[in-house]
Amino acid sequence: MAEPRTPFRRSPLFHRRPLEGEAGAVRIAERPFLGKFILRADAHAAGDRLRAALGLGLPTEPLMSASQGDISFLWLGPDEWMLVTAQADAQERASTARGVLVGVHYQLADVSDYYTAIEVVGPRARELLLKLTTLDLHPRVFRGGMVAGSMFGRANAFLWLPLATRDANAFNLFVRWSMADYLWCLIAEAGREWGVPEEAPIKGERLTIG
Amino acid sequence: MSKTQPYRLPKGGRIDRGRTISFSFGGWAFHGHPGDTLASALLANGQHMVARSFKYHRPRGILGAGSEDPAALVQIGDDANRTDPNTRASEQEIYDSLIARAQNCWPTLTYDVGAMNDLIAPFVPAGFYYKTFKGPLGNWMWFEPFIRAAAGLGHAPSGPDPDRYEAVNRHCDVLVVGGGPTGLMAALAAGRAGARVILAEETAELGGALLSRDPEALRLNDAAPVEWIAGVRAELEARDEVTILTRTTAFGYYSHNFVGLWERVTDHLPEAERPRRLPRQRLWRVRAKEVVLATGAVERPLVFHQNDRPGIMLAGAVRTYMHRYGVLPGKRIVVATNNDSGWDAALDMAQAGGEVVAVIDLRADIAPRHLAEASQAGIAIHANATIVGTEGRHRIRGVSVRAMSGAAASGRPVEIACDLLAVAGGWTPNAALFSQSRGKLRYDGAIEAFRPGRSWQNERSAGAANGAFAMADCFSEGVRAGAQAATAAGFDASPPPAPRIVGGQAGQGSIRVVPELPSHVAPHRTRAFVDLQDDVTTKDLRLAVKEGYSSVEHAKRYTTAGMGTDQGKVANLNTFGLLASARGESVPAIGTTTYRQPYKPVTIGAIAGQHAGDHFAPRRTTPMHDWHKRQGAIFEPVGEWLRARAYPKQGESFEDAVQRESKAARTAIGVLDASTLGKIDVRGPDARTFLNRVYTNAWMKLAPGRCRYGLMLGEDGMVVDDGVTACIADDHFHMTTTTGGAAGVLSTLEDYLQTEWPDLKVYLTTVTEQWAVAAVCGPQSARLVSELCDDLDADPAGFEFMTWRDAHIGGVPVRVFSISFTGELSYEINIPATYGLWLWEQVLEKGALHGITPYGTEAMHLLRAEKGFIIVGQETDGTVTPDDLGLGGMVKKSADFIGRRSLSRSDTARTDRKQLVGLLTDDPNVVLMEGAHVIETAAESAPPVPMLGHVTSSYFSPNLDRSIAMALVKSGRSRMGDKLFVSRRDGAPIPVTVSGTDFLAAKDSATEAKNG
Repeated sequence: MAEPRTPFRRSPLFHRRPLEGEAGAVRIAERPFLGKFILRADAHAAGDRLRAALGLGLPTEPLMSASQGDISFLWLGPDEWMLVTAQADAQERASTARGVLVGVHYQLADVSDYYTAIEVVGPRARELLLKLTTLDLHPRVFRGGMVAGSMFGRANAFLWLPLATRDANAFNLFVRWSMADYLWCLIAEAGREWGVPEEAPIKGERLTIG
Repeated sequence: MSKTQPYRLPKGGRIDRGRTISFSFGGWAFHGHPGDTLASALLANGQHMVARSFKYHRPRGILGAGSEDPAALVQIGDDANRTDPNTRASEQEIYDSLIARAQNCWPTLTYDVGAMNDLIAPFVPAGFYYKTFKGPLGNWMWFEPFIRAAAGLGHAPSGPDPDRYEAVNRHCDVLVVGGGPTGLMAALAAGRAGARVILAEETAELGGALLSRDPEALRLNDAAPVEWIAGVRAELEARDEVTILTRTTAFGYYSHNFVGLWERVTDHLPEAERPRRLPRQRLWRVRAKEVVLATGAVERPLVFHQNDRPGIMLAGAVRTYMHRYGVLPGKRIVVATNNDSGWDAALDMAQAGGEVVAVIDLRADIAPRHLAEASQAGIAIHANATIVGTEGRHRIRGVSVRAMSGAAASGRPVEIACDLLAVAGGWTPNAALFSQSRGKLRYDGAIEAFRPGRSWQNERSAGAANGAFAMADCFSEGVRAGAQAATAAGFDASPPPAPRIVGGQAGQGSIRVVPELPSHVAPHRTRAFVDLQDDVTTKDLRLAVKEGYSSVEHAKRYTTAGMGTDQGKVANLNTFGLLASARGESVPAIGTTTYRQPYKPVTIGAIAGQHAGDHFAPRRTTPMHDWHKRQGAIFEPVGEWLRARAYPKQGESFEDAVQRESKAARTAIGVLDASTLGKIDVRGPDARTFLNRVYTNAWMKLAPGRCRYGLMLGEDGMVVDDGVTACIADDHFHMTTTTGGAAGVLSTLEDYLQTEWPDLKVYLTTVTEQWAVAAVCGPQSARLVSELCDDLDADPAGFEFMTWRDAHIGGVPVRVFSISFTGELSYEINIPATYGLWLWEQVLEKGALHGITPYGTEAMHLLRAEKGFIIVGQETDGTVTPDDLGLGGMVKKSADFIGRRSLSRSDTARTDRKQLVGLLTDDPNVVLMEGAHVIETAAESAPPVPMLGHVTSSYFSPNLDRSIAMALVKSGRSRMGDKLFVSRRDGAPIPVTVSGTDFLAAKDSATEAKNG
């Protein structure tokens, strides 16, 4: 029997290439394979242990994130965070976290494959995203480090503006695998005003019998 | 037509005289200039008549100069997919090769066959439709086609809209609606305070009423009006926090200061010049902390006999055409007024070179200043006078004037020839948005109109919209409102000074409102129009009152006054005045109708925005989707998901493919993409207790490594979801739900944890799409799974049914569940989703040696039906209990669970409920129709036919070589072996025998009996 081919991974937006508007108005790209985990726990019970082990505690201010190196905790609710890590050490970080949380009532669910991140960067990024969401993205309101879950078009997603990035308008949008293509194309459509090329959603499936 | 524009003034106007634009109207070529509206360009050419009225097809001209115009509606464009009906000529900007057509006339505007309707007007009184309803049966049926054919507006586009639209969301501190003097000052005041300001102006240019004044006669801070406006605009534009939107109408004011703005982005450009990257129109969905309504005032016409001729225009509108567009729409002008603003207009026209032959004022007391100015300009003055009739078929030719004595016409008529009659009936604050916001209007006797009273939301009206008509008041109210709004939004406002005005104008002064101008014409012969679009006359309103429809809301609906696309902007107050006078009451006593969204018609395209066509809705796909598509799968929408339904081979029918796939999955090996199933990670020391409360069956003893099927009920005891849950560890479970139920189940369970059972230590997280799932089914599946996995022997002897194992495939960790939805040996392999396609290809590659067949959801449905497994949503419909499904054994007695109490209600506990049974047709080749009714007799009795239940699932089973069906049948389980019938549309009811639902088991036992 033939040896199995080396396992390959496909991110949800494997079939898409980064997009750019004119004069750098906005750039859109997938950030595939980031480590992502949903952590549910009591902030006080888990925060100190995590800080000791990962060098990063849990942000308790609503809608804020905390970052240290390439790991971040995104506040999603009073007892819910998303741990975002680089791909390479994702499982290691997760098992470190699990290790220090023994004895605490917690849940750490791997959702690295569930969601992907779409990066929307550039001076027009906020304006572009406002075509998709009713969140207030004014720089005075949606500041660096903030994260919010909402509807973007008809897809549920988490919008995150990492604090420590080179661009004050480098948004990350975490979206489900199955909705990623829909949202990608809607983002491109919103960017057409600034020269982003048109992207057609996956289509052409046969839906009728005969 | 020639290039000369005979009514174009030699100078002035905000038009670009350096360029001439040609456009067509009604098939004729016309010329105008950039900056013209269709109305101003047509008027420049002397074309007043542009439409036919809705009901009587009477000639309709241009009355107003903006969105208030009632009846100058045209059809724009000749592209059948793009054409725009019911566009106000006074709002449509012209561009090169614009094509406009007249509506509601055939064959042409001037010779219209439908105009015969006017002759039958006496037979089409107010409430005509209602009267046909109340007449003999069939009356309306007879009239309707005639009415629909005769009465009407423009034509909707016939094909899909080729244009793009866009919806945009914005939050702001202060939204200013209206870019006139009031709105500009409000925006300036709020902008200087640092607030986020959106200024929305309906027309193409800021300035509002300032653009309708003689620029030579008005100075603002010593500058010409347009210079002052440009200065304000420049300052606003320089502020990052200020957004100016022109060609943008605030059309709807909703709760929580949510305001809809409609921006026409490219409608003013020739089609070839519309930038492809811009949408045609935008919908701005604005959430404003504070709103300033600076929407100005609307002038009312006067109501008199024959007041609907083209060439009769609002006096204020004439001034707008003069100063904004450089058009004086008449050569020989009569002005009729009931207040001071008519005199200002008359003088203005005279100064612009018009021959103003007379001013007719309903009032007896006229300010000496006006009298002096008028006589100096050689204008004849008719004070305390009334118009008793007009002449001119397609354009006014003359006015007949009489003196008034008290409230009656008296004396000899004076005939005055004219080609323009400018009417000034007083100004109404444009309070539509205020009223939409739930604000209460109050009647102000000083202006004889309703104006904003008590506010309900965080908004304030200012300037003319607030009843302050004098220019100086508009500026000062604008400053005050803008500063107030900014302060309320949390900013420190230092209000800018209002500009120094030279040559500004006072308000309308005293006013004498006469609901219908007296004349000698008998009341039943007068044609005095109140609503020019819907052809509502004073006679109609009087009839409505006489017939008992006297409240404003009833009379409006009975006569359709104010119900046209213009929403009665100029007509409403006159309507109320007439009703009040017919009832012998005052206007404030009878009140006003309610203004509703939208302020004016908005295209459906703008409301749909970008969420149309390919972007209409998400089409959720699994990691294996590309493979299914490449194989030519037929897909099935399941909620938002697209699932492979079957994989027909070349030349194979869908039905044959389903039969082949079903046969293979039961006799050899098949594989299904089961990734869409809902998955919830359940974690915590109380997880078992939680599951025990959520499901009807017992969960306290399920050991790690084992799986169990559960039924979930609503609090009403009805089945809402089902699925297999696996025990990962004592405090950790992996729950699966139906594909369609995933989101709802998670939020319901989270809701229970947060509100009902906060004592339970359980966390839930959705992991639905973390895993891609390949369900391998069939006798060969154990061998294939063993071969696939690096470290798992799937032989059922060791890997028991209803257990699960951790394993690896190519080094990638997977979870393998030995569970089955088909009744056949089956394994569900879960792999992290990014490996899903790889896994699928591995399964097919290695499975090829075993003859593996991919099967779709249709075969899956068929296979589970052979085993009698239910599908929630197919066998259940929200009225089905576990016992109804024959699953009463899954209901524990030992502990409480959601819905338990409802199962002992007399209705759920009775024994003659509809119960799930199998149905076998006498003829094994007949497949019943799903949804068909089950009845007791071989023939249908007279309706209503007594019904025992209905067929829930029905297939032709390749593995049983006959048709099978499940049905919910009244007392079904006590009817085993009984003969029943299933009705059908064409033909006699189909005889069936009631059976159990496990058709496979029945076959096996029959085979055993035969062999034994």
